[in-house]
Amino acid sequence: MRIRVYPPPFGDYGAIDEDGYVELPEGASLNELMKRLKLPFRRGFVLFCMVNHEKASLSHILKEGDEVSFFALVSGG
Amino acid sequence: MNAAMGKVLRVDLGTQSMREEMLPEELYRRYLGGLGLAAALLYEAIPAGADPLGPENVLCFASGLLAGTGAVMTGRWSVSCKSPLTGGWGDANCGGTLAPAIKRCGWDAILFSGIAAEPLVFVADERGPRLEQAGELWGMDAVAAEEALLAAHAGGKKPAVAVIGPAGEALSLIAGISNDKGRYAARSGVGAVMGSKKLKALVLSGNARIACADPQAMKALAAAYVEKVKRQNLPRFFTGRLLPLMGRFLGSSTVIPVDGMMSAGVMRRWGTIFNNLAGAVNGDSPFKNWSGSIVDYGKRRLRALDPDRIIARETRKYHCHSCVIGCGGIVGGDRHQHKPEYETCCAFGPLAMADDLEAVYRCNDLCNRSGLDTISAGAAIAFAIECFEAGVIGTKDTDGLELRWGDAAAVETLLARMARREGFGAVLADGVKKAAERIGRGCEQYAIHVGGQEPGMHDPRFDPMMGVAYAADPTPGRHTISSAAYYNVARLWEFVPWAPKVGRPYLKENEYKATREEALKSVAGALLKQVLDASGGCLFALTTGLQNWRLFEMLDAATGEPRSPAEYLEAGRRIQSLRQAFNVKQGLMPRDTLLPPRIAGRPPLAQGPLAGRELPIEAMVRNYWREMGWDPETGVPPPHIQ
Repeated sequence: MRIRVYPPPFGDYGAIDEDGYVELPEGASLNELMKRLKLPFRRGFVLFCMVNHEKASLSHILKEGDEVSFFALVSGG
Repeated sequence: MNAAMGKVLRVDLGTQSMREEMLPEELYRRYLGGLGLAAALLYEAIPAGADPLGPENVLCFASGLLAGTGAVMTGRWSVSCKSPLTGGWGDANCGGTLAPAIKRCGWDAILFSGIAAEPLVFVADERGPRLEQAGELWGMDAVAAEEALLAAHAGGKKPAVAVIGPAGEALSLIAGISNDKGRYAARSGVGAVMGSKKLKALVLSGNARIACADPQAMKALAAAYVEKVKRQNLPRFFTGRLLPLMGRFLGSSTVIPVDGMMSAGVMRRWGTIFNNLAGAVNGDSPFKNWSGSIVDYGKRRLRALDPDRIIARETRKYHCHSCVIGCGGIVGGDRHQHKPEYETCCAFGPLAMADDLEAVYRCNDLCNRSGLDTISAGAAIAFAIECFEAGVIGTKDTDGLELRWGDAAAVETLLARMARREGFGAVLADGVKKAAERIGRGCEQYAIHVGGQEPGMHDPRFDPMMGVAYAADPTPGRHTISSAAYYNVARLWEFVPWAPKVGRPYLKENEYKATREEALKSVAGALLKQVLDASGGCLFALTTGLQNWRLFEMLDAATGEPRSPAEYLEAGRRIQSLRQAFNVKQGLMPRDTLLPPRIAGRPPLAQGPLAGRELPIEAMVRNYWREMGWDPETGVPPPHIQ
């Protein structure tokens, strides 16, 4: 499944395609997406995550077309 | 066509006659409405060589195609004419309340030509359109005049008012037009054109029905957007003190795509003033008449412009028509005031190296009441200070006023003299270009304008795409046309196949290269802006992302004539090409509109976040012209895409 991702700073962006999507297996959680982004430590500078503009926990199961953004200590708006 | 009223009103102020004109549907299909309609009508109506302040110039107030259809964030109106500031296409746009009011009077646009023998007010209500004597309104400040007009027309439906202040009456070339007591269509000298016609105000209250082809679909689009915006509440700990950190992130060497929707949270809390701090630290804000940086100014002084201090005074948020974000704010006290916007804070703050927030408030109020454009007025003052500091002018020239960097009291005094066109104030009251011509003595090197218009408070050395827009747009120096910041969050590439994709992080360094990709981004951004202005949409809705604020689907729902986003962009290309062709018709050659060397980084700044930055602006503009389909050497558009 394809997830639109607005990545946090200091990650590895190799998993993101040129459209801004990450390919994940069905049933993957937000935590698995974070792992795929290879943040420098467990949550990088991320304070909280949002799925489709709503706060979500790391165990949140993602689905096709979800939009994930991160509110980081160092972030933009 | 649904969404459009299908007709315009033409008013000849010289003969005090008016006539309605039905427009062919094909015109709307080609140019949509709003700015597009104005471009189509004014290209024909204004003869080559027309005096911008003469009877042949036509002032066109136009409502966007989506205004009043139930679409959200589509309450902007435009006013267009031949600009007395640039000598070419002039337009300005504004939120407030006027956009739906024009259509509810039964027209998509109202066009004023000729010059009245004595000052007039245009009124349209249940009695129909008419011209009334302005009487003692002439000479009143814009806010007081609007309050007087609202009182005079009380009793029925509250009208929407557009009005000029004394600066427009006195033909200051940097005068704008006010709506809702201080929202401004400020740029291009549109207020001077209104003043030249001796037209003080428009007072509009109508009840005409505005058709929407698919109201259910429109309602669903609006509801989905409103729901998303409502969720954008910044956490309490995210105060103004974190904005410099955010600014540094936005200006970092790797550009990381951000969720545009998060900007709704920032705009809801602070509005544009979030950039007072964010823009100052990353290089977006100009300092010291574009010759300095935060290093010269000092970070500690920035606290004076902390947006938290400004919103602390708000008595309520201000929403334009159909807005769900509410980036504006009304300030309490005994006098009605809109809070200062970022452009104003920067123009009367860092640009003059000043840090007096109280003075910024007073300058903002003075501009809003007199009708001066805060960007141009602040730029003219910063230019004068640099001339004074360099010894080009002295107290003999300035009527005894010492002009020094950081002297907010002198800034305020000079602004008041500009508003009254008094002494040295009159030298500056027509903007930087005219002031430099009047002063002479080699001061042109300090005159920061593009084709006669002062650029917005965003440094192209920070965002080169902004530089292309400053230099290459038919109304040069405008900061709302296109920029990498707008492009990256709008995500146009998800809708239009040829628009370059910016879904992954990239090196900011790439923005400084004159590549085809960068040119395509500039073109895509500029075309999207034309569609936005033809629709009456808000730039701050666009920056929440087209995947959220579904502009193209709203246009489909409103008109009932679905098109692909790429087709809408082709309408944008026709509008942009027609505005450019207007300049050529008026004798302006696009290649003569140059970015001042200083803001192209020639020489580059020695310190600060933009140290060493230089733009290959000539190559970038040529690439832009080529990708626009215009002659890459001259910038002239061929007739087939107008």
